[in-house]
Amino acid sequence: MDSPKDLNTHGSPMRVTELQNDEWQRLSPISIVYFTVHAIFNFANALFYLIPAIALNISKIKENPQIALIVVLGILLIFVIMGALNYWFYRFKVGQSRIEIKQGVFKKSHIDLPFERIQNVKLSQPIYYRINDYSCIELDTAGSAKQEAKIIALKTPLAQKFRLKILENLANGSRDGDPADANHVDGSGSDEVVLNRRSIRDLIIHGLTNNRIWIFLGALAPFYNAISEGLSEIFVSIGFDAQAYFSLETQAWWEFGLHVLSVVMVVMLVVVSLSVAGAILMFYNFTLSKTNDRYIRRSGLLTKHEVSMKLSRIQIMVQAQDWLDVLLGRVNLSFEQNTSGAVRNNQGSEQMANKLLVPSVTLSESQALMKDAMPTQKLSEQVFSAISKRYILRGILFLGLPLSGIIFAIIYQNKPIVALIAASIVFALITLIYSISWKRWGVSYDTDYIYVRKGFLGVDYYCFPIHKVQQVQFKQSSFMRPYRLATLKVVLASGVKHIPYMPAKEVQEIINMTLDRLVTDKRSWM
Amino acid sequence: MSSDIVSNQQVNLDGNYKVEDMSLHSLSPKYRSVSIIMSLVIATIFITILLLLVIQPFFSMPQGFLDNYYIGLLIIGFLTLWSVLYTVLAFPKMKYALREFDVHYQSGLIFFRTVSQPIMRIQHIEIERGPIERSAGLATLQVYSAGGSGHTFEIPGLEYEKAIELRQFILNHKDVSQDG
Repeated sequence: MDSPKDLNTHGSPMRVTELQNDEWQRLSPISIVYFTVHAIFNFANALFYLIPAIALNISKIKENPQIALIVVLGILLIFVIMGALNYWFYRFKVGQSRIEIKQGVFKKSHIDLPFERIQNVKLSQPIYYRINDYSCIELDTAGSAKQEAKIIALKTPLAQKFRLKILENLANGSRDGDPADANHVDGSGSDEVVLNRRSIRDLIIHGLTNNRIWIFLGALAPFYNAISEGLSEIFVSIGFDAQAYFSLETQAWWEFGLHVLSVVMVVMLVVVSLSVAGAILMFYNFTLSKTNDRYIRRSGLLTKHEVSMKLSRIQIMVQAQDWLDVLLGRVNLSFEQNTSGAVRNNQGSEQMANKLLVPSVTLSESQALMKDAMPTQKLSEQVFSAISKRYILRGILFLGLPLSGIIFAIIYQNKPIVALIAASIVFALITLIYSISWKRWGVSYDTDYIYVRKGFLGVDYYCFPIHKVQQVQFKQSSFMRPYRLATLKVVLASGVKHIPYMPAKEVQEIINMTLDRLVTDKRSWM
Repeated sequence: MSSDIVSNQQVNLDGNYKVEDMSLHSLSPKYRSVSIIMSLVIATIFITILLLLVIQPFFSMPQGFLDNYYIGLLIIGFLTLWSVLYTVLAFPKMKYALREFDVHYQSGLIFFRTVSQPIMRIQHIEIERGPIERSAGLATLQVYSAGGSGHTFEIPGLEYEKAIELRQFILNHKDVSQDG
C-alpha cells in the first residue's frame, strides 16, 4: 500500500480507502475560509439592490467614519461566524458505493449519492486553498441539478485520487470498492499524457479574437454604479468636459467626428484589454491531458479549474472560427457531451460541464486533437456540398422585402429619396448577409460521420458520429416542396443541428443511412 | 471510440426499408372530432367571458371597450374558424409508422415534418390522457430520448389500446433494455 508514489502527496499519507470509512467526517477547518468567501459573494450580489440605500446615507457615513468601520468589521465578523457555522454543520460520509453529505445552518440538507449516479467530477482550487494545497470536489449527477454535491475541502492529492476512484468505479461498473481496486486506481493517475498547452501568447490572441469581457462583467455586476460614479468623478477632477467635447455647435463636424472616433478607440482598447485579461484569468496555464479513457482540462489564474470528460461521452466536435480567427489562423475547438444533467450556472458557457473548450489553437493542432478524439473522422478531407440558393431567396422574401418595405413606408412621407436610398441599403445588406451565410453552409458525410459547415464572417465546422444520433427529422415547408428541398434536423444528446434547404433526396438518404446504421450499430451514445 | 469493426449488414425490414416509402397508419378519426370540439369549447369560453363583461351590471367597463368589443368577437371567430379548418385539412397528413427498429410520426400542412425516433435511443415512455381524450378513449404516446425534453417524440390521437400496444412493443424491444 505504501508505495513511493505517496511521497509526493505533501505529507498527506491518507488514502482513498481510509476516506471510505463509512463514518461521518468533518472538513478541514480551512473550509471556513471557503464558506466565508461564499457568504460574502452571495451578499455582494444582494448588495446590488442595497446600493440606493447606501448612496442615500453616504453623507452620514462620511461624518462618522469610525462607526462605518465598526459596522463593516461587524458585518465581516458575521460572515466569518456564518462560515464557521457552515463548517460546523457540514458532515460527509464516504462509503464503499455512495457518498452522503449533511449541510446547512438554518436550511438543512442531506444528500445521499450513489457513485453510479455521478456523471462527472470536477476539481477546483480557489486561490486561498493554494497555500495548503486543498481542493473542492464537485460531483455532477445525472438527474436534477438540485442534487449537486460538493466536498468543500480535501487535500489536493487525495481529492485527485478520490476523483479517479469514482471515475474508475463508473468505468468498470463495479460497485465494490475493494482495497485492491483502490490501489490500482492510485497507479493509473500517472499515465496521464498532456495533449495541449496554451501559452500566454495564445491566450492574448484568444482574448483579442473572442470577447471574454463577460468574465469581468459578471464579476463586476454588483459594482456598476460605483464604477460609473467613480469615472465621472475622475472626469471632473481632470477637467474633462464631456458636454463641450461632444458639442456640434462649438466645433466643426470633422472635429466632432475625430472626437467620437477617439472615444470609440479608447472604449475598444479598454474592452479588448479587459477581454485579454479575462482570457488569461480563465485559461491561465491551460493544459488538456488524456488518461486512458478521458480528457482533463486544467486552467485558471486565481481559481484553478479541472474539468474531465469521458471520451466516449463526446457527442460532437465543434471547430469555431470568428472572422479575426480566420485572419490569424486560429480556431476554438470544443468537445461537447450531453446537456441533460449538466449543472447550468451563470458562470458562462465555458465552465459548463458539458463543454470542453481548447482556446485558440492552430488549425494543425486542432486537426491533431480531433484525430485523437475521433480517430476515424476525416473532417479535413471533406468536400462540402452547398445548400440551395433558394435559402437566399427565402431571406429576401421573408425578411429583406418586408423590412425594407416598412422602412420605405415610414420615411416616404417626409423624404421620398432618402426613403428609397435607406430601403435599398437595408435590402442590399440583408441580401448580402444571406448570400454570405449561404456560401458558408455546407454538408458532407461518410459512413461514420456527418460534417456540417456554417457561419457568417467566421466559419464553424461540426463533426459528429452517426451512431450517436438520438432522433432525426425531415422538415419541408410549402415554400420548399415544389423545389424538392428539405431541412435536415438531427437531435444529439448535446443539442440540435439543422441543415436548411438541402435537396430533399439527400435529406432522405442521410435519414435512411442513419436509421439503418442504428439497426446494426448498437454502441451506446454515452 | 473503440476501433473494433462492427458488422453493418443491411437488415431487410419487410421490403420497405426507406423512410419515404413506409406504409403509414392514420390516427383515430375521433382525434379530429376531439380537436374540433376543443377549439369550439375554447372559443365558447372566451366569447362567454367577453359577453359577460359587456352585459354585467356590477361595474362599468371603459367606453372604448364597449364600443369595440365586437372586434374581439371577430378575432375569436376568425381564429376558431382557422383552427377548425386547419384541423380538417391537416388531419389527413398526421400519420405514424412503426418499423422493427424505429418509430415515425409525420404531420404538418404548411410546415411538413417527419420525425424518426430509433427505438434504441428511447429512455422512457409515457402515455398521456387529458379529460377529453379519456372520454373519447384516446391517448397520446410520448417517447423521451437523451435529446432533451424539447425533442420528445409524440404521437397524439391514438386509440388507447393502440397506445398501450405500441408502448408494450417498445418496452419489449431488445434494444431498450440496453443503456443506449
